[in-house]
Amino acid sequence: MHSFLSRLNTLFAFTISVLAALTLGVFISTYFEQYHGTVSISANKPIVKHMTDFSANRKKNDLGVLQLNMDMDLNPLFDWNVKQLFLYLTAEYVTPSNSLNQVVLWDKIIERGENAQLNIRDMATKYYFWDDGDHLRSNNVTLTLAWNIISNAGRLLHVRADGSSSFIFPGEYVTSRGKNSGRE
Amino acid sequence: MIDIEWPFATHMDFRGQKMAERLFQVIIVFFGLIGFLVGYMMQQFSMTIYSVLFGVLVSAFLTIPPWPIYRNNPVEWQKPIDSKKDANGNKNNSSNKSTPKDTRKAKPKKDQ
Repeated sequence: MHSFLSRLNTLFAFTISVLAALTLGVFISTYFEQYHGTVSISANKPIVKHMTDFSANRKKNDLGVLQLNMDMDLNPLFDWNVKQLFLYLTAEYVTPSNSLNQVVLWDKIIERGENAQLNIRDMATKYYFWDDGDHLRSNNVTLTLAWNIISNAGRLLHVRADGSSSFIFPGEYVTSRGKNSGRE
Repeated sequence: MIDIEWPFATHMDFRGQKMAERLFQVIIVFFGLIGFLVGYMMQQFSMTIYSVLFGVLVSAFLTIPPWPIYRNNPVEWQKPIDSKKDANGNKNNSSNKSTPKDTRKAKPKKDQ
């Protein structure tokens, strides 16, 4: 502590230690937080097509096409330890060959400070809904929303939202004959 | 360690160093606690960080420059004894009082 540089060094090191202790405090203060939320989801106009998935093998698989409506208010989830929310919508269904299939149809990153109240109408799915096979016709599909809490300091939490909805695909294929295929 | 010879004196007394270290520790911890409470109320961690950084600025201003209050207890050097009786090393060492920290500073500055 006899020169500028040694005082500066000591000050800096002590500051870093204090910041580390404060960060630990933030982590502990939000350790028991559950981050639950309620959403309402519904699907419009579900149809099934039977086409070749050119990004995979050349067999013909079922492709589900639908539009999404979602309402949720996630502003209460942002406490001082939450940096981002990663939301994703999963479609779950059963087929004769698999006891559970899960396909992610949509995801979104909401950062702290952005608007976390979403009211979505008639949105096309972000990802294709391919089935591994041809079992989507008349299948009962459940849409569930889940999110990951990305913290400033702490664990990566995974929370399932309350509120899921189901729909049933029609029993017949739609032949993609005209321009109007229901998907932008 | 890098040691730069500034054109002005930058040393502090031992007692002054102790005072300075205690002072900045107290200031930074104080601002850290205030910042923690404010951040918790506003649910914004950035407030906590800003508070600590402000505390660092205040303590840097108060403890890094060698203010005169940190020089109120200068080290009492013994008077140089001009004698050749004992072994050279012994007398030279005691009259220069070369503690490891002040060695580099004490020699060029005779007017301490």
